[in-house]
Amino acid sequence: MVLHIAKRELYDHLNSLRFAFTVVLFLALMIANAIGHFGEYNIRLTEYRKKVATSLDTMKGHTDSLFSLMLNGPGQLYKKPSALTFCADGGERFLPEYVEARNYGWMRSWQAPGEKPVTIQNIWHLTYPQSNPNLWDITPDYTNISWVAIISLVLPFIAILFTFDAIAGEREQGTLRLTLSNSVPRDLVLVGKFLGAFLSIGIPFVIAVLINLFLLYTAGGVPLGANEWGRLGLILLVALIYLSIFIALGLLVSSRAKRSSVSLTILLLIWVVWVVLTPSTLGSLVSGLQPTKTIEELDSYRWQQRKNLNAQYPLGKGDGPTRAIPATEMTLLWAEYVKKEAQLKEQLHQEHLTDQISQINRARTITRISPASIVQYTIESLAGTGFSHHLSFLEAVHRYAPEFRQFLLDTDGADPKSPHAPYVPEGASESPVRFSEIPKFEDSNRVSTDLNAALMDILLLVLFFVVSFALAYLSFLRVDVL
Amino acid sequence: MVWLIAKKEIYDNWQSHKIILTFALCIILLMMSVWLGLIDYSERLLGYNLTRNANTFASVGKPALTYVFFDEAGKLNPNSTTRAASIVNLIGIYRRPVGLSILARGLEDRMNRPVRLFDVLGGYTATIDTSNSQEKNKLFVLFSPPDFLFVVKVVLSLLTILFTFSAIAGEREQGTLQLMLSNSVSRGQMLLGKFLGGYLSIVIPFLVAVLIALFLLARDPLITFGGENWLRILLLLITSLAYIALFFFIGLYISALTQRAATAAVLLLAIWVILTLVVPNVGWLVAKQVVRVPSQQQIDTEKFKTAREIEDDAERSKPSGMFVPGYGKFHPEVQPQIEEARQEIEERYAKLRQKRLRLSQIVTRFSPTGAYVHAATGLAQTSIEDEEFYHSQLVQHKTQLDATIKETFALLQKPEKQPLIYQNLPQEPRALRDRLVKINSYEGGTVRNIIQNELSFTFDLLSLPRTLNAIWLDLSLLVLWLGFSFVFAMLAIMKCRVRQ
Repeated sequence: MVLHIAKRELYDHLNSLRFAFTVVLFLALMIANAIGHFGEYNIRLTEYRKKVATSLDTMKGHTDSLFSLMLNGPGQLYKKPSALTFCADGGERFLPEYVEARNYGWMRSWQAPGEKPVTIQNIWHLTYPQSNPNLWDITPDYTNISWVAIISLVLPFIAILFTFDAIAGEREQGTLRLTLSNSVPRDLVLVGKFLGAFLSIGIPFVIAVLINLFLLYTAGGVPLGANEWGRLGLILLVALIYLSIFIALGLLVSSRAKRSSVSLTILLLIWVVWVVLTPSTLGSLVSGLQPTKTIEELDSYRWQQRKNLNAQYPLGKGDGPTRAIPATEMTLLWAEYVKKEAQLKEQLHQEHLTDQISQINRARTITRISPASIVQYTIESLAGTGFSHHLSFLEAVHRYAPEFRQFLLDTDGADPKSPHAPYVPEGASESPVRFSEIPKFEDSNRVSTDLNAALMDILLLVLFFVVSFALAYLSFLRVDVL
Repeated sequence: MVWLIAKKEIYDNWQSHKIILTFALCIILLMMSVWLGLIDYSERLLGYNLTRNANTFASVGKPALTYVFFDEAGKLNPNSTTRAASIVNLIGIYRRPVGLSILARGLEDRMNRPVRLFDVLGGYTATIDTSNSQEKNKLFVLFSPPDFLFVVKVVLSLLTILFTFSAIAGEREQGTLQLMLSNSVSRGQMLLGKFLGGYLSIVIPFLVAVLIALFLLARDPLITFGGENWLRILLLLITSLAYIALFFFIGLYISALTQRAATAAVLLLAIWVILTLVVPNVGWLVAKQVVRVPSQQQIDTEKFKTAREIEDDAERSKPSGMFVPGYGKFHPEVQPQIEEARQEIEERYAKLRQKRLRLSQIVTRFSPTGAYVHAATGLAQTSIEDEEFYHSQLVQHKTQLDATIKETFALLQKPEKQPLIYQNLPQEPRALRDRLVKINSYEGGTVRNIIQNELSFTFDLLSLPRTLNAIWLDLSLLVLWLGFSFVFAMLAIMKCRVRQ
């Protein structure tokens, strides 16, 4: 019986104008998406590899002595591009694509009479670029046609088009009474209508998606392995759950509204407010209410911290050994200071980063009252792009930095000739380091972590669906037939 | 007669839920957009003021910055340390944020970032550097708030559709169209009446909301609008009203053509999606495919390669003892040449970016939304033309700074004022060190005076006549669209069927 109603609905839809519009729109957007991303992945991957190679080359240049490596660090650590950028690239263009693990800063040198000159330099630490330089090459009033935009904006719009008159329209024409005068339970009618709309939107959508993937795979240079197919399958599942939410919502409003024009008005209002405006407006509201430190506060805070550190060491204005402190002790003091200084700088940078990230996370949490945001975040996690990938990239960097430091200390410890006072030229091992033994950074896109990040969001979407469907069900059970 | 129909329409609309929705939506959205825009504007203003203060600080605090060079063995080269001194180590210039950008953001972000002008190694030419600035949490760009432009462009055009889709098709379905036309009402009068009635019921809530929003804007102490700015706002408002009217006629046209109101709704929403979402985006997509601009990182690589080539050429003719880690052999005498090459590359790609924007502008003009966006950003001083004007001024400032650097350097070349690095000469006698400090602070005074007196780094904005000159095409396209949609609506109503 359900199938019968669903079939009738489906045939109705297939012959309608809106179905033709849906097919054309989905195809146009998906093909535009494919063409827009032709060859993009290969370019980004080549660029990424080139940069990593350059960074490694620089590191190789520092292997002549362990101290040189301690001074200069591993270089720039790059974020690996995802093959699925065409699914979600909104934030990808704006986020920084590397972390600096290099040496910036000061050096001091002196020469005591009768001795060889001594030079002290600061050592490497992690710094985080504030933004991608391409950030400024953005164009206003432009939504990037990625899957995220198609799914989060267009899919609910189409769902509204298909459902606004599903019940109100039938009531207006009097066919609702006819249908229900047969021996059909009301819940079956609702389920049938739901399935009909779901299939008539879902099928063209899936076909458009397959065409998009076919184009990208054959001509666009996007490699699709088992890993990618798994991710794409999940993204498709998320899209279909999201679609179901809005079909149920459409049926709910359509059964409550007296006339189909009223139901269309309400639904479009919901679409504009909940889908289009809520994500961006709420996000910027949160940023306005809880600003991070201004640059002035930040600067004075950093200045104070460094002053505190400097006060702890009797190193003066970068002078050489004095009578009070003999040369060897001075060197040890410098070694300690240099280490502490790098630690402090890194800590200050990380504090700022954590501030910024928690600000974004707050915005993301609050915007989750709109399923459009949830879908965006989920697809970004699943595609391994955007902010969630950026977070996992930073995590990987923070795992790697201590590993690299430990390696330096271990190597220094293993050299019997070293005085074991690293971070000053005289204190570290002077023997060359074997390049192959140095731990190297590699960013990875792991399905398990990405899925973990997306899981709560998927559950939240399911919850949205269950609630909206239950409401639609209840409201249809007591709907007026006339 | 026209007025009678309009009155009937207005009464009809004003008793329906639609009007409440329109009121609520217009007021909430416009107030929200202005409020968020003001928060954002005050932040940008703060950044602007900070950078301006930082200017004097940078030039006073560090008049002479020393570069230290290494020889190839990685050892300090004692001869090179005293050579190069930098006069202007960092000047952040920043265009004051434009108040009207609260209404239409446009390209404001591109023109509103701190630009650093500093002299390159060796201290002969200034360079424009826009790479790093820290004034705000950049990651927040992912949440860009809606502005007035967006509300009109998307939300009001959608509301217009809701007001019109059943205007004729719905009356036909209910049979009232036949009744109305059986009176002595011409079809033209009916169209005008319907238009006036519906248009007023949408425009009055809109104007009320705009007035509230403008009141919010005007009473904010940060906003000091002169007469020209209010004139711009008025023009923006008129353009917006024309844009809404245009969608109104499209709605009436489709409603007259279709048999059922539901069909009209679907058709109109399809048209709306195409005009407001698809065409503008496709315009950009096409432009991106036709004019390829490499990423900033690729451009930086190209600049580095060019610099290296020049250095290597110089190395072949005259080997240098200076070696900069991460860069290679360094030749002070070719630095101006390198800087010129770098700026040339940067300019070339800036032009390419402009070309890409222009192309996307041409394609998006196929939709009235595109024309409206260009006209509105033009009026808000955030359009493509404004950015071009800004960029040309930036280049001018660089040239000006170049000249100043040369002048100051000549001043400092006098033997007794040769800048030296006291920090790296600890074994010098105390008296000499004190003298060096004195010289340095004296030079700091010179530099500060020059910067304050001669380098103002102000930016002009496009005047209203120039703006109008830039957007006349968009305005006339909007009028053309308006005329076309009116004529089509008229024709459709003239020959539409009265009965179901």
